[in-house]
Amino acid sequence: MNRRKIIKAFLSGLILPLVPIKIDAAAKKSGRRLILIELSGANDGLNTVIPYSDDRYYGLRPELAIKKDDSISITDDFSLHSALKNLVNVFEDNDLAIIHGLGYPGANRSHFKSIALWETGGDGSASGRSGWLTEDIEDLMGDKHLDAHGISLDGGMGVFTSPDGIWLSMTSANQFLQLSENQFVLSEKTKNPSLNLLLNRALDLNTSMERISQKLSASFKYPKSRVNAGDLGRQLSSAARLIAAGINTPIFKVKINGFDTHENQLWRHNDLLRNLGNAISGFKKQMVELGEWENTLVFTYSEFGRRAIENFNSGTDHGTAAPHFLIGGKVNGGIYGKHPDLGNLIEGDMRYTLDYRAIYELILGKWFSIQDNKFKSYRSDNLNKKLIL
Amino acid sequence: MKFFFINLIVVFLSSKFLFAEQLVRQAQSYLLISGFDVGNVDGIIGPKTIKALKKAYSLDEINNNYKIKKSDIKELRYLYFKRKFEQWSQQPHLNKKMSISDARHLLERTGIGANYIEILRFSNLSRAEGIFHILKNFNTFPQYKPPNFIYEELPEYWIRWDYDEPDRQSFRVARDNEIYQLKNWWIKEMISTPYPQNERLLLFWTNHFPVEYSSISEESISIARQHLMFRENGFGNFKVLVKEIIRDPAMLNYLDAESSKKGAPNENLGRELMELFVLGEGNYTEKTVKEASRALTGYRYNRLRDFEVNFSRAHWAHDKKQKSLLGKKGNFDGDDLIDILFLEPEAATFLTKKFWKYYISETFENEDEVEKIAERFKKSDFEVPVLLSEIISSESFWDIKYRGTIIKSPVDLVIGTIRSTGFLPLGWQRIPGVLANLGQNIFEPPNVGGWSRGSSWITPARLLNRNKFLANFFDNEGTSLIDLDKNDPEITMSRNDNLILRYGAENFEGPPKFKIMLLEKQNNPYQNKLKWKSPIIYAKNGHDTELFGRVNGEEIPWTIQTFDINPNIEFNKVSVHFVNDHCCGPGGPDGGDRNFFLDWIKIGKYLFLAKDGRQKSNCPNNNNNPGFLYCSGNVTMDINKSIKIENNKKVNDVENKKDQLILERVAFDWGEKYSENDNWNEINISLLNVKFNSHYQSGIKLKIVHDPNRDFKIVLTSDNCSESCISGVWPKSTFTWEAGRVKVLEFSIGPKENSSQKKHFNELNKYDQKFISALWTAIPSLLKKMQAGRNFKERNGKDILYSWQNVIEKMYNQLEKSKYVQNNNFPKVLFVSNNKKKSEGMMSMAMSSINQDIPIPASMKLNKDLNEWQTSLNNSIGYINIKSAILADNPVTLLNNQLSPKNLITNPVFHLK
Repeated sequence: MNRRKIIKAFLSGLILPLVPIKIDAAAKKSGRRLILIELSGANDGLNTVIPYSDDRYYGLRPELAIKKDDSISITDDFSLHSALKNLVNVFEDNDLAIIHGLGYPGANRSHFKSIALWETGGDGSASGRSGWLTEDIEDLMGDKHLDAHGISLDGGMGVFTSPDGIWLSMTSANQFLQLSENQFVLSEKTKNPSLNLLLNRALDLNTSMERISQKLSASFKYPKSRVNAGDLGRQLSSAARLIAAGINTPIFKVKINGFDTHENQLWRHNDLLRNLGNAISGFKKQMVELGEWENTLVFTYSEFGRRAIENFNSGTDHGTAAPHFLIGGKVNGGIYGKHPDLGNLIEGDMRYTLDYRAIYELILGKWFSIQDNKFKSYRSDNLNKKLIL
Repeated sequence: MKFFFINLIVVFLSSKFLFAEQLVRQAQSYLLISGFDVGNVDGIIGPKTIKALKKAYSLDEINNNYKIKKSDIKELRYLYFKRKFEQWSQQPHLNKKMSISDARHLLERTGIGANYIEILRFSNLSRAEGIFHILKNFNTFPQYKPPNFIYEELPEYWIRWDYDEPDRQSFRVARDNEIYQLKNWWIKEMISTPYPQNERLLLFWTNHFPVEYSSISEESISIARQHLMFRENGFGNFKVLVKEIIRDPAMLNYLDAESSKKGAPNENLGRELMELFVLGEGNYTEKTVKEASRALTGYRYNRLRDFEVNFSRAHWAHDKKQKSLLGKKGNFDGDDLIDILFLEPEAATFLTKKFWKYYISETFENEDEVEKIAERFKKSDFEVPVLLSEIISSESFWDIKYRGTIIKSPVDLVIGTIRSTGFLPLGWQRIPGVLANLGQNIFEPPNVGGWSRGSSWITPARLLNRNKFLANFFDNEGTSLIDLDKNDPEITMSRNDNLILRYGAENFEGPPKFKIMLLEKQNNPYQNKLKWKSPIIYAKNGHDTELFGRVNGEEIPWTIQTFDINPNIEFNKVSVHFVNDHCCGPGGPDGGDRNFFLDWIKIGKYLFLAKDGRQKSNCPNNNNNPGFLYCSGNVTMDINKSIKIENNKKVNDVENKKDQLILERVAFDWGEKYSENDNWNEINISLLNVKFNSHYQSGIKLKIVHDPNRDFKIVLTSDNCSESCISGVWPKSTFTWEAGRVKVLEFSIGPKENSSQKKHFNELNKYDQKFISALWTAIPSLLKKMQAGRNFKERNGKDILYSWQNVIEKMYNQLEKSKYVQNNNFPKVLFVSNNKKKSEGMMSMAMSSINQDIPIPASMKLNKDLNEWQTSLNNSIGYINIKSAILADNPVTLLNNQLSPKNLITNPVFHLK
């Protein structure tokens, strides 16, 4: 099977390894990794993690509030949407941390602008220029044992914006494989720095793709369980397959679309959350099976939350703060941070209680042990001490 | 057809900074740097300036009242370049004849690509002559007329939020299409212009002042006007350009300056002004950003009035208090701020460095040279032509070690290759999508920093796409421009007997196939009689998913195709079938996909929109978005839902009774909850396309105001009427706000009408008196009607109106007794519903696809394939010189025995220039 066919087969989820190729890297156990799940369109936090004991919630959401009995209570104050029932099991295993009230100063309500801020670690007064983790991850990880710095399985490269590093999108990997005959084969050294850069890039890319396809074809190992959760499930299964094959990359990025629920939120949100819950719990099962759950951290994020006050079309409009999930074998589950005060809204919006970059700091500083990272000024001692074991 | 025109570019913004003074400054600067004594560059024509002008022009007739015109600047610039040319001709690095490689370098670095015919022509000149030639012929006028939408009456941007979702959607689609037209126009311009130097400079400015179209809520007109503003000012004065940018609606929207006001300044614009536009990171403090943002409060634009920009000095908008900026104190506004920033030494060095990197090398920097050039740039009072001339006449520009050190941008790679080879691949209309795939989606830079260029063009994913593009450049199904010309008969929308459809295709191992059927409904709704059937049609111009991956929504390569059919066929349904999906399901078993998209189909007078049809597809969940067939299936459209193409009725054409108020829509704009303690309670309502007898306005925002201690009134302000609020002259008694900028009229129904209000009404002419009376009389029905719109629901209209409930009853009683109602007997207000919106968007799209001319690369020969290009190269510049004409000559040693043009364009060095 040639490289092209292997990766194509991989992308369609029907990998049938033939003759294993001997490579030592395939046997090497990979290190810690982060799975980024983008909830695209802005998830409604209030109907995801429900403050069911707060009467004001029902006042703000006369039509959309999820009744106490329709949700699954996880603490005295909070419940999860019933569509997340598989996630409740993860919570009970102590693997799910919920962080309340994430946001940033100078909230921007444009989808495009705000997701760009989350991707680059910016806020209302200054936006970043490169992906929030690219520089630190590139510095930390020598290219030696890595197959890539990050792999996007949804085609989106925004969070990977970087002038350096090997940040791949698997959709383009497919195209790569048709190019082998056109790859530059040049051994000559040149004094032209731009040409050097170009040749090095081509070489890195070639090597990286070569290793990925070799590992894929060499490995018989793949998760037995399936993730039944639509497109997100497919993306996460692909990630699991890559992990099973020993592909060494610290970051995977996946995405689920459709959270912009201005209208008919109740059933749409229900479907979305069911996919999200099933995808995460299914992915956990696969990681446990592979013995990789302790090395895996999953983080959900979204451009902003939705307005606390519902609108007149059975939906919610663009808002500010929202809770997000951190999930993994090393996560000390529970509820972190302070829920925004529903009695203290600004024009129908919640005030954020924690700058989202505290999570970025936690991920870079604690999970990847990069103490001196870009976001160290946002460090939350409480999270750092407790959230990751 | 090429369309040559002069002066098509309109100055949209009547700039508030003193333009006449600025012209004098520019003239003085050119005189000064040309060696004439003008005294101070102060914007005032004194005896010294006049004397210098006489000398420069060698004319005695210039008298003391001479007014500097734009043409003077052009003339003085030319004289300056001529003087410089004499100097350059003495400089050792510039007085030599250009080699083929020199000519390629000069053309490629200053323009887009380098064609062998141009190279040949330039290689007969000396370097100094080449530079002089480019500068003196610098032309900023486009070759083709910009898209029509720029010059037409604006769509209803100001009231669009009131539309319900289907109309909002159509509005958006029409705007997105305008951006698509704009992109295509610019790309055509870049391919065909004989002055690519200007397009390269425009690309620089677009990235120096980046704005993402998708982030400015579909305001395509702002992007278009900004582009024309860059054409107008890009080869002019940098300081003027920066002053234009702080009053540019696209930038004001993009950097959130719209919401920036006194007490709550938004720092985005202030920060980027310093960091990205003028000084560069690290050359200012956070304190300066804060003070600058205060100076920038109050710059806003008015969607109702043609996006007119004004600087609002109103107490609530602009912060008038003292600011302290870089050691200066004063009540500064935005223009003062810019003048102060330009006193900093970095103002000259920052842009000079950026030019150096853009034109000379991304990887080296020559501090001494940059300093020297920056000094001259500053001395010219920031003239861009001076900066550009210094850059391209510098030693570094010609130094062999800097050649081939710039990584070609996607525009260089795609359009440059087209220009260089004279080969225009079939499907050039899809270039915007190809550029997006390579990382340079025009008008969509990645963020406020713009494209970072250099190494970011060759990230792994992009490098793959670049190689693929070059490897397949000549393999485009063996077709070229010449075939395209033959196969596409001219079609027009006015042909009644034709069937025309617009579709898009994604190919995978071949194009999608489809067929069209005309049907007649039978009594039994499940049976349709087939009246006509097309043969199986192979979709043209499909996007190759194997090469380029999937397309983004807006980049679907739409194609228009026509068929002759018998005009007498009677039918009432049309159905389009996609027959050869790449089995099975999304992605297919091997990752491939073949999709078919139908936009519309026009048969005779009827336009059928796919989105109004019913879709049956073999994919699950693929029936909600008719027209987007991701699996085999069909879309069926009913004649009852089609749009009949005929002259649409506008408010203006409607037959109406005398003195009847006609309008298209009334919307809730905003309001305050009623409070007894407030002497100014207001509700604002928007009226679209208002006509009363012969008086027409495209929009009015009306205030209904109540002072509990005095009266009810409606308030008209000149800011809130699209044209003039009234047909006659404004009464002498008119109030003014904002230092006279805004005119205000109040019409009161009492109980306590004051004398000014009486005068406002009495001083109107009798037609306007009728109009105001009709307006007042209509208020009850307007307030009722506005509740149906989206604004009312989404802007809390219900609660606000509820708080006014009792007051409004009083108002209606008062109104009955008022002079406006008592003396008149107006017919009922007529609301003209307008169903043409949808079809307008679709039709403009249809027309734009049809009217695309083929760009003819200027001053070059078209080649129909690789062989012809190779022959042309051999015949013109000769076999031995081919390599020098195509590849940068640093390093030369890499390439031996690889002289075939095909090998040259797939060589790594071809990524560099």
